Amino acid sequence: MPTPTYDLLGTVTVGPSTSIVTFGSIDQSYNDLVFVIDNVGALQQGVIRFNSDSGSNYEYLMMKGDGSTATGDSGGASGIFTMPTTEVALSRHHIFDYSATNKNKSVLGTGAGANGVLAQVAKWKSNNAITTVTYTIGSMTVGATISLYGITKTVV
Amino acid sequence: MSFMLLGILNSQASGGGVASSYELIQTTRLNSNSSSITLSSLDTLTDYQHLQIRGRIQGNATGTSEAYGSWQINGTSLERYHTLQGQGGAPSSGSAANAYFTTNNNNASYTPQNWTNFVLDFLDFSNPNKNSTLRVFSGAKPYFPNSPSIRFFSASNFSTVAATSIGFTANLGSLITDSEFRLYGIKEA
Repeated sequence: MPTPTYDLLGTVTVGPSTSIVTFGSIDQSYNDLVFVIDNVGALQQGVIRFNSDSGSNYEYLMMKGDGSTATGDSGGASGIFTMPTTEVALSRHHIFDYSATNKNKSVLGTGAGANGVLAQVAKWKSNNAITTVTYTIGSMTVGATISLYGITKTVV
Repeated sequence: MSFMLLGILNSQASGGGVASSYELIQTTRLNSNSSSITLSSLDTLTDYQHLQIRGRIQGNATGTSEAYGSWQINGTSLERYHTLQGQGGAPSSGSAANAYFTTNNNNASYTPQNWTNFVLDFLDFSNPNKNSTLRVFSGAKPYFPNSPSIRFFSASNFSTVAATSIGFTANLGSLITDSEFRLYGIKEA
């Protein structure tokens, strides 16, 4: 039987001076997570990390455009950067198989802002299940929203 | 200053009693290696306006060749393809039907935990007045030689014949066990 999903697991509306948002004790019953960032602020580099891992255990690759030039970038990192050099105020990241314990964690993301767009694929080089998602940025815009959704894998 | 949500429960996500219009219809997972995955009986999904397939694939192509395959609607290849792809340098565009994915043979140090994940949207899939078009966002890191690791991909048919099935066939090697397609439907207003 079709099973309703795309469940909102949590959302945060940013208050003054907020720089870190953490979603913890994440329900492990879903297959994918969708992490949505809305209006976090201009020209700041945000980073997503899993299970508080700030080591060099992430890889990324992206393509981006600023209205006149298309460029790319790739490498290792200490997190998944949502805005390397292009202003991104809105972004959505799909985190696949986050509860699996036999897969590295793959992330597909897109972002858009006043100065361009980007798409990226990233990986957390760990087979551990993701129980915590943290988003860190220098300073978020008051009223910005950070949301986490779950997409089920089981028809009930 | 930080903000932390702990103990996230599904019950928090009920949306204030508003029924979800996004539903999981079926999950198809390979129990053994196979050349293809096909989702059938799409014409029975009359409750939905749009379909989305979320999934993962990995192949077993050997040697230095990357694994690739192609999408089909109603068992046949599509007529037009367009790709925007990136491997870390300047993005490029192409018109080939090939959709690349990781294999478990090209680089032993990267296997078997690395998969190519994708989100496929099939909008207005049952509309008799519109040509069929698939939009696929896929990626994998690391990438393999000549295998774009991030891609926006479209595949179109100049046909308004109702779609009854959608499939993906590996053209080189097979799709391995645990490859998975999950079909979701989005209801119309």
